[in-house]
Amino acid sequence: MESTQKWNRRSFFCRLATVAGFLMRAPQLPAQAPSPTPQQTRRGPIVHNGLIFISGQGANDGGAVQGADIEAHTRKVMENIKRIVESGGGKMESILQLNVFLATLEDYEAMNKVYDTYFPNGGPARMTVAVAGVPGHSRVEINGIAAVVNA
Amino acid sequence: MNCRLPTVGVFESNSDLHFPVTGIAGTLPNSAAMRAQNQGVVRKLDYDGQSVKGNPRIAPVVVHNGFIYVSGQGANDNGPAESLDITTHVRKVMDNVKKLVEAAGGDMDNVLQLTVYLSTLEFYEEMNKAYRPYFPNRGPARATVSVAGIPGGSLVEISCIARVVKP
Repeated sequence: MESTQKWNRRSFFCRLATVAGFLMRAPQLPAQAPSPTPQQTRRGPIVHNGLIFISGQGANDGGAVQGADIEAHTRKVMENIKRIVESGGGKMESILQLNVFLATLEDYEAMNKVYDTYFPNGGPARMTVAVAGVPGHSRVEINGIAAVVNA
Repeated sequence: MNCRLPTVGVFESNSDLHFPVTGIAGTLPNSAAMRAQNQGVVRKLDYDGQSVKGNPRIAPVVVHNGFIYVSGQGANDNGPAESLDITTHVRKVMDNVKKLVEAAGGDMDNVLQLTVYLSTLEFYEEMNKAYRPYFPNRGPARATVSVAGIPGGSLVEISCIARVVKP
C-alpha cells in the first residue's frame, strides 16, 4: 500500500515535472529516466538468449591502429573481436559465425595468415568478400555472432 | 558427482543431432548430462555432417542451440564447378548450402536468413532463376548485393542461418 502511494506520488511529480518542463519550453528528462543497461551501451556487445552479436569492427575502432598494412589491420580487428566476445561472456572458441569484408581481395591471403593465429583449434563458419568500401579507412571489417559460454 | 563439463570446445565425434530443451546439466547422470550439454555445445561439421578434422580455418557449418550457421559457399567449395556461367555457379553454391543445412539437421524450408553476394549485379535475374527451385514452398529472409570481389573466382557466394528441425 505504502509503496503504491509512493509510486503514485512519484508518478504525479514525474508528470508535474514533465508539464512544467513543457511549459518552460526547456528540454527536460523525466526524473525516473532508466539508465542504460550494459547490454545497451554503444561499445559493448548486444547479448541476447545466449548469443553475442558483434558489431562490424574496423581497424579504426577501439583506439588507433599501429600501421596501415592488412596484417596490422586484421590484428587490430581480431583483437577488438576477442575483447568484445570475452566482455560478452564468450570465448574465441565459442564464436559461431564471422563475416569478413575486405577493402580489396588482394589482401585475402595476408588477412588469412593473421586470422589463423586467432583460431589454433580451427575457426567458425565464415564468409569473405571484398566490398566497394569500408568506413574509416580500415582495410578489413569483421562482424559476427558468438555463443555465451556456460550461459 | 560433479557433471559440469565444458560446454564449449566439446566437439562430438558423431553426427547425432539431439537438442533437448530442458534443464541445466548440473546434477544429471552422465548420458542425460551429455545430451543436455548439447544445448550449449558448439558443433563444427563438414559436408557429410561429421565433426571437422584437422582444425580448419573455416568450419563449413556450425550448429549451436538449434541454429545452423552455414559458411559462405562459393562455386569453388566442395569440388570445382563444372562450368563458368552464373547458373552453374548458383546451382553449385545452393547444392552446397542444401547439403550443409541438411547435414546439420535442418532443411531448406527452415532456412531463416540468407545473404547473396554477386560478383556483378548483371547476374541478378539469372541468379534468381537458378535460386528459386531450391525454395519451392517459401524462401527465407534474403539480402542480395554485388561486391568488389569474391575469393576463389566464384561468381556468387551465399551464406545462411537455418534452424535444426530433426530431433
